[in-house]
Amino acid sequence: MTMERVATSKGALQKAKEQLKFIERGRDVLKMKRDQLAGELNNLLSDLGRRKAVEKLFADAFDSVKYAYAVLGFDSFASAAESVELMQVRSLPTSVVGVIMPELKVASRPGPEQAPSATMMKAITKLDRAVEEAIALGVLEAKIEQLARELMDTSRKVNALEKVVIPRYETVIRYIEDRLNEMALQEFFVTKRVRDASKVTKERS
Amino acid sequence: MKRILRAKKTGSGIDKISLIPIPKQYNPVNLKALSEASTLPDAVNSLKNTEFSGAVEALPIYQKYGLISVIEGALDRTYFESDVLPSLRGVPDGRHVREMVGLEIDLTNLKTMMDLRAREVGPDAVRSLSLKPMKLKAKEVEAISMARIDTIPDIVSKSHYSSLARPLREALDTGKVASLDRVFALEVYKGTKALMVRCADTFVYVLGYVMEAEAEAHNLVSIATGKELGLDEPKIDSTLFV
Repeated sequence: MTMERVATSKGALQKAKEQLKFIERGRDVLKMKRDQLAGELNNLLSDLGRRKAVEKLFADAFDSVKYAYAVLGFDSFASAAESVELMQVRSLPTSVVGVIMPELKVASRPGPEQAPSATMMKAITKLDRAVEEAIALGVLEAKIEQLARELMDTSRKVNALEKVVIPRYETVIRYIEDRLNEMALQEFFVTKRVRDASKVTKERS
Repeated sequence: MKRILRAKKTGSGIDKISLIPIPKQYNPVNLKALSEASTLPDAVNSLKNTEFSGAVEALPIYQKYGLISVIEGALDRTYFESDVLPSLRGVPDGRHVREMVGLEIDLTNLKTMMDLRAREVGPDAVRSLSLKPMKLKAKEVEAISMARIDTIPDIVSKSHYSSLARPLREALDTGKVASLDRVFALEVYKGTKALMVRCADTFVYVLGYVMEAEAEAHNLVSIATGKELGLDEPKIDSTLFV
């Protein structure tokens, strides 16, 4: 919005003031959203420390699987693994202040007791737990990523409103007000000159 | 059969290469029909008119607990009681061969019962799937079928297989449940070896030799696999049947 194109009328001033008010309200709403997103993000960040524990669970499960593989050999291992059903996961996305958050729920577990041998049962129990924890961690990381992206977007919008849009509107309003004052002063001066001139003409006649 | 039934349970495909090829004349069941059945109960029902019809009788127990071990236990029982034991008639050195087979039957029986009790299968079901004991006593089988998993070593310690009680107790107490399979297998090989020493000049020695060869093949697979997976030496040792 360049100043040359700004209409300098009372109507334009009124409109600009209303728009500024609307933008300021929008900024306040975005600020509230930003604060809520930051709060959510903070709550989740404390859980990120679980990653190390999950990695340990996987390392442990992998050791058990290696042991079972060595004890049973490939054929028996593959055959025993076939008797165990796959883990099934359902996606149930939720919305937090308009941000779609991923959520996965384990719908059915493999059931280690299905394994036909104790060696496999142990390996599957450990792997089952590790995978479940990894899913939870994955969901947590995806949530953090979504929230962080949204927080970045919202902060950028708030900054743009605060640093660019609102100051520009304030300048425009100031400009229109100045121009209107100037015009009012000019009109007053012209009126005064006309009144003086007509007064002089009246006296002469 | 076990391999096909396991795949049927989860609905996964059967890779024909993974099946052990058996000449038709030695095959007591129609493996093609078994493979083509759409569900596990259908596959088990296809065994109705074969010597493995015992598995069909175990189907209600399977449906109650949803455990493949139930069907496998029933197959083992048929294998030992209808296949192995009758085939011992007329075998030279029958008494010792029977002793060797009896050892395997009893230990398979113990292992199956422990497996089922660990999976909280009810006493009636465990009893109905147990094999006819050889050196185990009927009252011991009865006690195991009702016992909690952690009390089974106490019952075993008073049985003919008392030497098994300590490794069983150790495996349960230290949470090394994975080593249970090996504990039973080791006991079979240990018993076989003792029999071979006692009867070095009889037919049972030949059978013992075959079993030793089987253990050796298993050990070779375990060592090769362990090395490939980067397991350390004590870990590889713990997988071996020596």
